[in-house]
Amino acid sequence: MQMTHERSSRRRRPWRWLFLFAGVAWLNVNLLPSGRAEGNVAEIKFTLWGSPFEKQALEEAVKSFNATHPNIHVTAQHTAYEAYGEKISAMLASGNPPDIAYLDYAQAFPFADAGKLLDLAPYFAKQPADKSLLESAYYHFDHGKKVLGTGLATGIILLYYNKDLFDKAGVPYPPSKAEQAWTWDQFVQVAKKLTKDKNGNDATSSKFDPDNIVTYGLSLPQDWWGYLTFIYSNKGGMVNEDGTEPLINKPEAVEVLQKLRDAIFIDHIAPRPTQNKTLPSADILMQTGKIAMTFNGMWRVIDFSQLHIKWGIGALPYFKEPLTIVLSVPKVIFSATKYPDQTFEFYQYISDPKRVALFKEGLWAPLEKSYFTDPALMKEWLDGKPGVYPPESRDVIVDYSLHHAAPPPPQYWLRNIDRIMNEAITPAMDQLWSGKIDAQAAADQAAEKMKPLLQGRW
Amino acid sequence: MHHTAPYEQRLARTKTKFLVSRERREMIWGLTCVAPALAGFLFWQVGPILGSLVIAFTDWTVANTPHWIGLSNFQRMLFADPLFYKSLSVTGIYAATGVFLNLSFALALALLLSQKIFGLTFFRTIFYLPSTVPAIASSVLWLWLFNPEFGLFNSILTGLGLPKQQWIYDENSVLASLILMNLWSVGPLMVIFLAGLQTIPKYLYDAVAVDGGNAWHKFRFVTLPLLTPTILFNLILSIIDTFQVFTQPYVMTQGGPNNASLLYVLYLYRKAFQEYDMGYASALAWVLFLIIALISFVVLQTSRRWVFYVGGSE
Amino acid sequence: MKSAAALGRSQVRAASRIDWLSTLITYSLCGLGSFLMLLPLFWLVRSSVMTLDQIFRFPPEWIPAPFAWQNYPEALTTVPFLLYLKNTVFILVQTVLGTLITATLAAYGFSRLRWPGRDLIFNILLTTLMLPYAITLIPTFLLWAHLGLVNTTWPLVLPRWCGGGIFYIFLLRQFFRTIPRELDEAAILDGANPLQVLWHVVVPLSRPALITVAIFSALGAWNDFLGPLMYLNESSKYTLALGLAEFTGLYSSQWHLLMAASTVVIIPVVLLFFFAQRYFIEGIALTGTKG
Repeated sequence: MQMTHERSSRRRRPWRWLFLFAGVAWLNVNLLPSGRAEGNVAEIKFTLWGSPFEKQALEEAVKSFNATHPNIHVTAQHTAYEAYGEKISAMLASGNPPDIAYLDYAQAFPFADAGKLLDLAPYFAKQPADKSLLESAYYHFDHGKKVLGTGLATGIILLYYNKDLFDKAGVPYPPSKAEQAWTWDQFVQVAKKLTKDKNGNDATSSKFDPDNIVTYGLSLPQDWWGYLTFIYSNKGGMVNEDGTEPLINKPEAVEVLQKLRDAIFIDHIAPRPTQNKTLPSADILMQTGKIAMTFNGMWRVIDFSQLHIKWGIGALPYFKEPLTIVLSVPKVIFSATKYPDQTFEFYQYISDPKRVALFKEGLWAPLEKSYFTDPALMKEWLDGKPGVYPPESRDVIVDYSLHHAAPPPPQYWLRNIDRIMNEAITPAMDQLWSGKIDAQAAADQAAEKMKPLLQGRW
Repeated sequence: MHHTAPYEQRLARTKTKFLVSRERREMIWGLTCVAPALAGFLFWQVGPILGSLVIAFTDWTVANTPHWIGLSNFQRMLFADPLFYKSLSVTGIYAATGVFLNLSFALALALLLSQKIFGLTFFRTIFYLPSTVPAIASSVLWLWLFNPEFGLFNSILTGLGLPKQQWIYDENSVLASLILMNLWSVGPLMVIFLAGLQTIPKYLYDAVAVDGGNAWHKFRFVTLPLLTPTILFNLILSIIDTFQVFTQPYVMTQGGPNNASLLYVLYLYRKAFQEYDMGYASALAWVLFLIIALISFVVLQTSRRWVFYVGGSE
Repeated sequence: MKSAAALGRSQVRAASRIDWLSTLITYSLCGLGSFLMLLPLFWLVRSSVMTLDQIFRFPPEWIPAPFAWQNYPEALTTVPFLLYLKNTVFILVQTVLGTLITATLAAYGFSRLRWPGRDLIFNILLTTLMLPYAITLIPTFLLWAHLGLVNTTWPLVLPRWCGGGIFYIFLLRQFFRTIPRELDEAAILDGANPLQVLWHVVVPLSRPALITVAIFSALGAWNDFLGPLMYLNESSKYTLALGLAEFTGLYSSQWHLLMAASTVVIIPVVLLFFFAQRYFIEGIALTGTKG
């Protein structure tokens, strides 16, 4: 089919066009770098997204890997996040997927299910015991029998705060140890004292003007981990463990959702989370004195460390037990790779805090358990670059990752998660955050729409 | 037309003499002229389009081996997918309002900017400028402007003593906000109108003036009828464009809040590149294609009644 | 009793008052429109000379204090700007040339030459505009991958040398149809072949439309994001639009640098439009002569 079209189009084209084409052809064909493929050099393609900073750090890691591994040549290919899905699917469809890649969890599971991703379980099994990873690192599938990959890093949700605003309001800083963490109600009281209207009254004052708030005590993230963390803390969940029954409309979850809603519309301590999806980011809001606290990922330490304000991290407030969610983007190896062993070697290389600067610079936390237990390694990671991690990191990040991690969120195991989020959860949460309906109504609506979409677990 | 008679005679003579050969020659020339475009069309359009049609009848997910599932995708769309209808109605409202407002606004601007006034070049450039802003930057920019807490718009409203709006963050105002934002970049439509306005012979206006007509008469009896081919073009283009609007809602609202801005192509994109349901997405695309084609067909059919070609309707 | 002369004078005065009034209205509309159009743009440029925290101050700062001029050198060195510019211009020049030549030919063939099946084929072509790109994306990519031309600029320019896109053919065809057919006939009687008619009759009368096509295709190539993203794999081949996307990350973005880089990217387009648009005005004189 295609060949006939090509031939017939050539026949019809007048000669002069051919010359023109020959000219541009010469300019346009930049063949793939082919020189290295010969001999026994393993060519490995690595696709990723991320900020210029992340890109640069990984490109440096690739360079040093290539320099120390003469038989392997890795090419990093950075693609804008907005169209990463198109790019990867086109590469996969044309039978030319990358060897190793960042992949959204919603895509990783169906890919793994179709046999497109390498099962890494045997590879991790061969690793020495002292290299073992935190259990939260793994993306299991096939009911725990296989591993499609680990997260890029260990990412936990924690509390960030602006010390200056606490000092000004005369409020003690949030505790950093889980045992001393504030309950949600204690936390709301603190946030009220930090919330100021344009006349300088705080939200506990009777003269407080909620229509003219200058500083909010809190900024709520819109992402699912923003509310799921606290639902877990209240011993609730989004769905049951089999992934067959919604739990989002059960009292444990509804109580949390209602409290979060009240924080916006009753307590007036937080703006609506729908507004801060992309901009301005929480660190900037904090620097401009617009907010005093926010829940956000550990991966934001890198951004906060560049602020010109005194900031700190603390233990999340809790409902029934203090805990946090661990999450990260999966990093996978495609089964089409010609060099699985070499690719896995690179896979481990970019998970190694000794090799990639992003760990000590505050974007990534290690996956290896020893970094959370061995003081020397911990120091290497947390103090590797002075001024990045605040001193309380040993409690807030290390202790929480090790001892207060919630069970893996549905993103790590629930089938059809993308549609469940897009079609059931997000629209209901939008209405909750708009203040139009209460938590029970929103949760019921979400649960109702979830039911036909639930297909169990991977 | 001073030499009408000899011209007609010469034409008639030529026609009888070269009728057959001229027709053939014209055909050969015509085919040669369209050959590159036709080749490109066959190569880069027909193949992929047929490909997508085939995919619409399968369960292809990019990763799996596709199976032929007949009309299942279409059945699911019509009978078991409330979001399909939701996105259809959102898109219908958006397109109907957007097309009308975009065309009127662009035409008004073009009329304004075809006046002979000092600084015309500057004004034209200013009105065209917004459409040169790269989509990624303009989306971010408008997110800032719309932001209810920190945005410029609400800051202006507050300054005027008006209540703050939620803009794209409220179910009831999100579509209106997106339409408003789109009005900002009607530059291309305006330029096409401007180019169309320049093809209107000046003597026709002079004729109206001689007959004592005013500006409205000039517009009503010269500008509007002679601009109809351009209006038709912009109309079709706007219909196609607004039905397929994607980038800004994708970056700015992701279809929210509560699916109030779930425009059709956004939904299609979600199916194709987030859920990798390529088969279903292709089926969605073909239904959209049929809808746009039907509307365009109706417009083109009725256009025979209101579009006026100086060069004849051939 | 007013004399005839006085009557004439008062008419003239009334007419000039109307002129004066309409000029005033025109200017105030232009002024108002410009203000509304420029406001978001002003916001863009303003943000490009601010630090991140300045951008998000509330109430918003209209004039940055102080100006963060360093955003510009920083933005232009964070991504290899000159390299991306070179790559973009290379694609752009071919896009504009290819589109102008082949779309003009095709539009001519579809509007002023008669051959059987012409309108049917054109209408079929037109329908391809109606299928969302998202859905032909993968099949098209497969085609190019099959030809082994991924990671070259071929997929971005070759279609431009083959008609340039049905949109432009449609645009030109619509304009060509407004040119009186007698002009062609006259030229043909003078012994011109269709190509000569196109070159000497149709093209000169269609300058506004051709300039429009040139501007649109140039802008399309300049701002195209998805095309280069799909087909170019190595950052040494990236274009400016891809470069802009590098400033935005999943969780944190360098908005101030994005705005600075965007401002730089917009400037050439504005200049191009500023200088090209005078041809719209010239169009009047040319079409006006025939009558």
